[in-house]
Amino acid sequence: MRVATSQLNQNAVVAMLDQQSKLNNVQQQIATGKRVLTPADDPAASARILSLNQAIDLTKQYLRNSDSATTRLDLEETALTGSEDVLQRVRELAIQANNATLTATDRSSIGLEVRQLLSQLQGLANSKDASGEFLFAGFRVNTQPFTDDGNGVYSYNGDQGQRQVQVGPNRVVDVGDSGASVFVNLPLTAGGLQDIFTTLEAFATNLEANVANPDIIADIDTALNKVLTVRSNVGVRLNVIQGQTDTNNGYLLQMKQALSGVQDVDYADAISQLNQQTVALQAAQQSYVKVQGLSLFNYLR
Amino acid sequence: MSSGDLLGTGISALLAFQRSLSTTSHNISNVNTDGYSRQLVSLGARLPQGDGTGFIGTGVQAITVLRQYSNFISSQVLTNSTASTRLDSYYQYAKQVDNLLADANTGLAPGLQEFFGAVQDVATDPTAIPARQVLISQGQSLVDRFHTLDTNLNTLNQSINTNLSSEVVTINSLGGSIAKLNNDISIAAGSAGGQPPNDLLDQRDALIEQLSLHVSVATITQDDGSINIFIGNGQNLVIGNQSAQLSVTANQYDAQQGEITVTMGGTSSVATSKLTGGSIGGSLDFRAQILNPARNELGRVAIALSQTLNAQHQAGMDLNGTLGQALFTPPAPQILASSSNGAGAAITVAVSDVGALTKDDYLLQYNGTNYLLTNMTTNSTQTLGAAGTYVVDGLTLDVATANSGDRFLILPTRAAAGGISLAISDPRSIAAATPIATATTAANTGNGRISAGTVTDISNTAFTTTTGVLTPPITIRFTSAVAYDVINTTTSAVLDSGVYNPVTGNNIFPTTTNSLDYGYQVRITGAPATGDTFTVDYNTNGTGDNRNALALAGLQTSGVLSNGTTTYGESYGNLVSSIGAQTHSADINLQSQTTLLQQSKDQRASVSGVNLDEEAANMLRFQQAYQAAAQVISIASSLFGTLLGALRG
Repeated sequence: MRVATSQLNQNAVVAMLDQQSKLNNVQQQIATGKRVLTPADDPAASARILSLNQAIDLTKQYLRNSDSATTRLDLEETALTGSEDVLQRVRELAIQANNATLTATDRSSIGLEVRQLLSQLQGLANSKDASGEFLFAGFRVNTQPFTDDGNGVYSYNGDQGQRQVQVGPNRVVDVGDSGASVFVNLPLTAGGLQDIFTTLEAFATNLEANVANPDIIADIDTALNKVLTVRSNVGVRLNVIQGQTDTNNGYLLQMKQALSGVQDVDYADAISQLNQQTVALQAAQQSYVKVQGLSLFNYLR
Repeated sequence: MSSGDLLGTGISALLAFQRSLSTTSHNISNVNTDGYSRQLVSLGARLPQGDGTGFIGTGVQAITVLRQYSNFISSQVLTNSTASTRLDSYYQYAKQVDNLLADANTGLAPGLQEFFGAVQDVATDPTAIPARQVLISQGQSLVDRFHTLDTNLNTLNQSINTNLSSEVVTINSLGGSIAKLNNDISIAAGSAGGQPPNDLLDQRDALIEQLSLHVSVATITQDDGSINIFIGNGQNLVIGNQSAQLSVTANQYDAQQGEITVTMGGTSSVATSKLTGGSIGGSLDFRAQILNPARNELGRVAIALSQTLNAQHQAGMDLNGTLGQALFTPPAPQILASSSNGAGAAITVAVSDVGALTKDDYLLQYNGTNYLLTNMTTNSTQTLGAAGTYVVDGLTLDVATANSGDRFLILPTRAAAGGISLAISDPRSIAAATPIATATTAANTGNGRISAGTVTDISNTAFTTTTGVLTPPITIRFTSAVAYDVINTTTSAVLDSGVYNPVTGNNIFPTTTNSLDYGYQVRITGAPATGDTFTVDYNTNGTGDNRNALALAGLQTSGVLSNGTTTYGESYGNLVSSIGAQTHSADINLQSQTTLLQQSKDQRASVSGVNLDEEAANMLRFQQAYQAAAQVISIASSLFGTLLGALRG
């Protein structure tokens, strides 16, 4: 086919520009480390990248939520353990007070210690978390749950709400127990329901007056069992969170690997392409120079 | 035999070869001229003179100068260059949108993720003011991202309008030049006795090829040598030596959008939709296929986000104990009236169902009797009827009055991304709690449990009668293991009763007998005993409640758009990948079209292009022939001299 002189030049230049553009593309891939530079490079992959990124961010959020939940539950567990210790000590005192050989004065001093323990228990029941929210007030976290009027009448000012935290895609965990389910509405041996503070108040008053308390040990046991039950619930929840955290971490790793597989450049492949392209460009440039010099006019001198 | 004949023959040869040499040098001078077709002198033998001894030839003459040109190949080049510039223009614009949507700094996906992350943090710690403050600033960032995207897309729109103006100027000038050349060519051909004015023809072809870069071109050659030019789908531009004028006028619905009007011989018509191919066709196609759908889809996500988040937020309770207000303010659908409409029309449009909302535009017309609605993407028209309220594709249209022949363009989502704004600024106003709280009475003897409760309809009078109070507060008392009464806690009046299934548990509302519904739902499970009670009241001081915040966070992963099948993130992801796919295929098509264009240009150059080696060889050939012809003349002259010498002697 007949070739015009202008064509020789033009085609050679177009070929060189093309090689340069391919070289530039490979170089960009290597420099950024990404195979998919714009969605147009691989539309299906770019959709996948967006959804993988969302899954990764969500999972990281769940891990953060799990940390918060664990912190709060740990605080609750500490308060419950403390309450348990207090009730154990009161139980010991109750057994001690039962001893027939004690005098009224002895009982009175036991009563004093019981009052102190009562105040300690009240303090534990009114525990706050790091943000200043009351742990055992249900949803009314800015209202002190347990107050007394100074005359031994105790009121619960919270509600029965339990806050939940999302630790997985379809997993929520309770991060609190309302005071109503721990310290209030405990069945008495003598019948009826009463909160532990009123019970202990009555115990202390009786001790000071040297009056017998036949049901006190059973009542304290009821309260202790309640605290233990709630505490083991908290332990179960902590385990659940731990299990979910492990699952989340495993999932996160998988997603990150998938993302890398879709998005990142394979360096070995890219660098060998870079070499090929460089050689191709050099060949185009050198052959252009060679062909340029050929003309009949060179010989017509 | 006469030496004069010899002389005449020699002179004819000299003249002919002079012409050939000058044509060859013309070719060599124009080796780098764009659009130049090489010329060959066509030589022919002169008429012989005949007598008894035979016919004696009389030499050579140059008949005409032939332009080496193929009509077929040239029209191939025109077709390919129109297609190629169309794809190039389309691709360059598409690439910009592609990069914009996917970029981590401007794209929407990271903004959505950060916003919902802030919602989750509020859910984890509802009373913390810092977490609430972060939510508000993330809300503002999200709004800002929508704005940035919309501004950038709008800038592309403006640049298309600006380009249209400059394209129109270029086309007008090209059309004018072609018309003038038509005139010049017919005059020149006439004055040279019908010989083709080759260089003028080349110039005209070059102008036509330039024109084809802007818009698709069809040519028809007339008998007098002029070419009539039709652009796009048969819109006439040049007829003989007259050319049409293009101008940019305002679109009938939107004064800022440009339309191209063609004026010829006193009549004007709007021709934008007929102008296909070339850079005009490419940018108009881009606007219709990528830009406007992208803006609509972005707006759809903005509307969905604000409406659903607002609805959920307004069903919650803030730190002050009041019901939540709106989080975002989305702009309403746009109704653009045609500039030819009469006055006094009353049309309103609102988004009523986000799940059914599409990304299409609509045309509303009134024909005097009925209103007709056309979906601009599918081009299907439905007759709505006379004045009234209609619900179509998630939109509620209230068509009250219009003049016959009135037309309205309805853009439900186009402006939403640019106009969305944050409506909340006080961290205490974030409604993380749910307004109701339930309780199980301690003295219950059975083991029934009541759920924490969810709000189903915040506009119910139970919430709206008095702020901060549930009207009335409810007690659910079990009259047996399988039946309960719903009682007004304040007045003890029995409001209704219901049936209970101890095996599966029950939702309490709506109640069985009178379908009582207070806008919230509670569920009782387990086996309550006779006389057991459960209460529902306003969540006073329940600042640590995070149920509404959890519900808000859950919106991120729930299907909200497209009739409950797609989340906000998925809708946006679909947009990004569809733009990516369109850009990708435009790129592929452009590459193959460029190859085709290159091939057709190669073919044209093969026929019409100058090859310097060939011209060099021709030069040698004609030079040699000229030298031989000069020798003939000197022989003729010496013959005459010999004859004279013989006569003298």
